[in-house]
Amino acid sequence: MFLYNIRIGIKSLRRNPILTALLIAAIALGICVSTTFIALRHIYEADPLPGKSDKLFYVRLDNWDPARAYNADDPKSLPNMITYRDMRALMQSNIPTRQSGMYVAGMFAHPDPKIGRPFGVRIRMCFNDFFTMFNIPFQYGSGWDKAADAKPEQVIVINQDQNQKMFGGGNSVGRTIRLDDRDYKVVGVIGAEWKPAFRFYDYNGGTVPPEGVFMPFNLTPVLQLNTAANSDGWKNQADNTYESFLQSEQTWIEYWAELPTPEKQQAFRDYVTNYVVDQKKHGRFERPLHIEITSMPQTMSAFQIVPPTVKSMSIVSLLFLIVCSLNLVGLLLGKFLARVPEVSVRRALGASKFQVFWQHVVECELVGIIGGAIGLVLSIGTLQLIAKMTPQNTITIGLDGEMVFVSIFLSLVAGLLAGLYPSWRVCTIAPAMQLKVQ
Amino acid sequence: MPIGPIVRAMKHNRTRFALIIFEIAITLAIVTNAVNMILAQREQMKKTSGFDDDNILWASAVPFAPEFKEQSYIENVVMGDLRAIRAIPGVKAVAATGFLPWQGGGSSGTMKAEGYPDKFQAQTYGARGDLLGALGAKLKYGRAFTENDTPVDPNESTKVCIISSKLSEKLWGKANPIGRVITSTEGQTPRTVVGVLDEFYNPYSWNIGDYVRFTPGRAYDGTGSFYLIRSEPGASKSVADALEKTLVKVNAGRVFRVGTVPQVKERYFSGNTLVIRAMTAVIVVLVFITALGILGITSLAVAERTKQIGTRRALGATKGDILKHFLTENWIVTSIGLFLGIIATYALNFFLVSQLTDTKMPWYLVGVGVVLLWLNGLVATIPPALRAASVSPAIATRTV
Amino acid sequence: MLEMKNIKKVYRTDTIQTHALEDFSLLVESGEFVSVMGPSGSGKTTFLNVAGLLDTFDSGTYILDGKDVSKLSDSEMSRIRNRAIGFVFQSFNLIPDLNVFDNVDVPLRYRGLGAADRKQRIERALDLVGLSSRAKHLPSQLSGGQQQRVAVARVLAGDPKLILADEPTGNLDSLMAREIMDLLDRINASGTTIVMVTHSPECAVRAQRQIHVLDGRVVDLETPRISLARNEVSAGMASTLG
Repeated sequence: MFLYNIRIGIKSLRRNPILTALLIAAIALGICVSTTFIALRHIYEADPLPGKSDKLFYVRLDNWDPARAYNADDPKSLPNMITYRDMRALMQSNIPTRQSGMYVAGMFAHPDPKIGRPFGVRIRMCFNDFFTMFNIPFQYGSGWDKAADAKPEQVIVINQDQNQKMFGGGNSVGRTIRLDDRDYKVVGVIGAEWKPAFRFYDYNGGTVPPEGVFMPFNLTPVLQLNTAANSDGWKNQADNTYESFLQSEQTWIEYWAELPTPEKQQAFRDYVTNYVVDQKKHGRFERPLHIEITSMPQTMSAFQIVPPTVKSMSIVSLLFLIVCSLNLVGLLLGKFLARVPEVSVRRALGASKFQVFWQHVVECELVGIIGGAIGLVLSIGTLQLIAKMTPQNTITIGLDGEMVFVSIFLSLVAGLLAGLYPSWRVCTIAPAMQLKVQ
Repeated sequence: MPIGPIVRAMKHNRTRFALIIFEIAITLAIVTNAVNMILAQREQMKKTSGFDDDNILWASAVPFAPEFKEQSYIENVVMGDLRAIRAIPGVKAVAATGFLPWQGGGSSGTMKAEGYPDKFQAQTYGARGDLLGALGAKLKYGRAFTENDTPVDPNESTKVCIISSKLSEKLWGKANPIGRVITSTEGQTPRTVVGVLDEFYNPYSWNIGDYVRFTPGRAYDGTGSFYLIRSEPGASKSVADALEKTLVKVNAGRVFRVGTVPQVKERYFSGNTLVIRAMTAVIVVLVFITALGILGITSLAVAERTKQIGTRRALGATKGDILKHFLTENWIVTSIGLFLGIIATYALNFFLVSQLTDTKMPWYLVGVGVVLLWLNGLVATIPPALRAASVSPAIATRTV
Repeated sequence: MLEMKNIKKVYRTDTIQTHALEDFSLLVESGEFVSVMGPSGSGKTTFLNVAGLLDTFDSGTYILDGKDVSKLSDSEMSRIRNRAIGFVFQSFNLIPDLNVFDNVDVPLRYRGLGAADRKQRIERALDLVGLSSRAKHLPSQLSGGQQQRVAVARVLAGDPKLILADEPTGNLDSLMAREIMDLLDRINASGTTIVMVTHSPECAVRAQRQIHVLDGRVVDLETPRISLARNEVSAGMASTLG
């Protein structure tokens, strides 16, 4: 019976190709526009680490100027990052199952001259927990071990791009590369499947792709490195030495902790609070006590990762789909009611109300599926167009499986909602009414 | 036109008219809010930097050669760069600075000023060479930097600065600020204002896009140097082509990048451009779809009412009467839809403003939207109404 | 009142020409009640369409109420339909979305009469057909006979000189049919000319004069002519045309 309904549906749709084209175009445009803008929003809002992101916590402390808030217009604001010395203190805690302070540094890579000229690289300075905490997959090797952090060893992890640029690809574990004036040994090459839409572990400096090189954080004082990203301060250093810089109130380090249970989360909050209160005794943290320990989703919303215009556009696009569906209702209503004689004959021949209803719903869903498929293809094209218009080195734009599912779901719902009323109207036609006139 | 019977008759086709009414209402809400978003984006893009953006290029040189640890070595290379770039045909001026117009960021600091009670935040950049020439900027008061403003001893701080007129007004009002003093937060290194830029804007968080302090000095170190170059109009391309070759000749131990300010600006506004294009496309497609919807639904109504139209014609209605009937019907429906649409427009705007940072809806936009959609409805009704008017009155005598 | 001379009406499709009216001539005097009879496809309905200015014709002359209406514009024809002619159709042709009052109102609206005048005319007409109490009902809430009476009221309200009725009792049972015929009799008695197309002999005899139509011509029954063998195709086509 279901196949029979589909066959009747197709026949009916072919009978009036212009109307059918209008119906399908209405759904296709609605799905195209809504899928495109929802996908755009989804890129920012998608959980980068499903099942884990709510166990990862980002720490912010208000060590700012007692006279003036971090953002002078908002007394509740606090710096986006923490100081080097506070990060060191937090790392002393054994409450988090994993933790890492981090920042971005810039260096020059000097590959074999046969492979290429020197080039600049962005390097994520971090601890070995970084790779397991953020579920980073490896193609060759792995992250470095605790010993490499402790020593610190001159080792690096690189991604596929850098592997290509530094070594021409292949298993480079064990090979060395000169960065600035030292040689570093590759211990791991990240798998090609790791392509987050943007750098989900760092929101300071916009939504940009992850770095290509990772290096033990503890090399920082050894190499006297500076951050290649933002660094905010309010107090002048004691003197111009690197040691003074590390001990200063300059905020330039990000810190993440993995806290799998509520107990650990509370314990860690207590730990951080005790630390800050203790520091107050030493004349630091002069502003009112303000600590933000936020999970990854909370942190993303605190940093307003989703641009407001993208949010607006996704809302507008859903309304757009509603307009398309209203159009569909009108057109289907006309189409079905023009079929009254046919339906009354079917009813007279014994089709039940439900059968008539079901037959028409199937026809609407056919329109929904065909229109939805076209809309999906159109939205892939539209997203590529948008990707071309956005500058490089920002988010990676595309449709993931989840969005394809959402798109198909939307088209089925649109087809169903638009078809319900017309189908109900047509199934209430009395069987004999029209036979008399014929 | 007899509105009473038309309205009474319309009650029996509630669904059809309700569909059009809601469609028009939502369309108005979307169109006006989308236009509002576009206007907000355009407003941001209308800002001017105060510089000769079109003719400014930038070049960066990041050293990898070990000799660049030596301060005197760096000094020599940068001075060589400045001379070499200045000698490129078509170059008007060049400066070594950390400033790049339309970068959407840069460097800033907290400062104090003589006679201003609070600390304040402002953008701050060093510059060496002909900064004003390289930007094509105009001075409102005072003078440009001279080579003497940069102390010979690299450890010594400069004593002067140039600020933007907006910063000057914030600190000291409309008065001429030449000779007044700005210091860092600790009160060290007082810097006397020697010049005021007529106009300055570089987008920056904390709303300090209008506030800047330039100081003469070494805006470069072992991590590299950055140059702003202003070319003769039309020479931008040839200068860009010559830049890297010129810099390699000065010192090859570095990696170079070259670009133009228009590119930087385009990149900075790419999000705005995207929103404008996307919303424009949405508006056009939506208005088109709504017109098609009205056309389709009205056409079906005409087809369904052929007999009725024939009867009316038989009873003496002229073609004009039939045309007027459908246009009146549409006018009523469109007007109700637009009325609801005005409410929906403000509801959606209220929602968007509360959720996000969109701007409030100006009333004239709603007016324009109403007129546009009203005309849209009229145009979409004319084809089916004309078809209705051409129904033969002889239809009335047919039985089925 | 109505004078047709040598009217010719041809329906053309791509392949076939159908002569619906062929040399059709008829004279109806003022105040007459004439019935037009004939088999399906004989041209009755075409005659009615032409007579009622619902349709144009190809050649011949048509004088209506002393005025040549052969070459009128669409608007002029609408005006005459509206003022001089009243129609009663087999299928009533009430507008389903309008109630009884508004249905009777339709032609008056097109005539551009004032509200008070229209109200008075409608109430009087509904009174004449005995439906004053149903003014707010929709057509679907009335019986067939009542619906036809509304249609008659719609005619009466316009006060036409000529009523054209097309099988006015075709969709009614005999009791209701008689009611309608009585109504038409009364209207005719008050001076209105009526031309009624029917193929019901009982109805036809109520008219003062019967006219027979065959193959698009008026047949003179006094001097019967041997009709030429009818073209099967043309008959078939004509029947589909009504």
